[in-house]
Amino acid sequence: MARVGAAGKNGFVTQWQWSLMCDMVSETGLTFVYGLNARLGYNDSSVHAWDPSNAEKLIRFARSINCPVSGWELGNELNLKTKGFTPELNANHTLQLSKLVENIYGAGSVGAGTPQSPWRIGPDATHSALVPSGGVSDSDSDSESFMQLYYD
Amino acid sequence: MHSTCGLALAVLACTSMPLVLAAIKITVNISNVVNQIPPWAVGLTLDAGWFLRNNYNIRDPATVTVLKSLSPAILRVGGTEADWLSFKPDG
Repeated sequence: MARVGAAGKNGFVTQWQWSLMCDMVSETGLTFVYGLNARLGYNDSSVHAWDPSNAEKLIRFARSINCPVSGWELGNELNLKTKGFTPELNANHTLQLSKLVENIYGAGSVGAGTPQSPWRIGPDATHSALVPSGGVSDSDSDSESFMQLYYD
Repeated sequence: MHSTCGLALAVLACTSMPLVLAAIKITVNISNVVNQIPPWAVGLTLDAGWFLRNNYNIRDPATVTVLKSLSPAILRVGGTEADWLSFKPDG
């Protein structure tokens, strides 16, 4: 699907780019929610495990430069059929992210939506209503049922 | 009290999709407050595609000034490209 493939190839966020983004957010007095890559490791195992090692490097770096991150999000529009994620899979990966964030920020210090205690945000889902009429729906499940299954 | 207004709603779902324009009418009851959201709930997204394309200066003074006026809003950096990006530390 063209929509998901719009990015289409893997790329990098350099340390310099990340620092620049943090500087900008700090200067404006805003806080920052960042979407981590949910696809890492996905195709490397039959159980579609998430590989958190790259996220760990990024989160540790963000902490080391006091970047005002108020939330970490995992994945984008994960109910799209082309992505292959199920709500159960995403919930499982998100629990992993929660543990990772808590390890880095300290036990019990996650969930206030501040740079000292960030949220873990998700699931990110898109609504099938966004598919133009006459077009082919690329949504596996609508956002409401995806989220309900996720929370179940 | 009800306030009725017509507005043109522009929905641009994705750059690869056509712009959909529709005239809709909204009636808003402004006689009482039913809920309040905290100031930080004002949020906006900066597309993660910037990391791939570096196509504008995110510290442009005009941009920074506009964002300052939204403080303490949340800037969410993500979107399609989020699932294609990895962090690359120096060294």
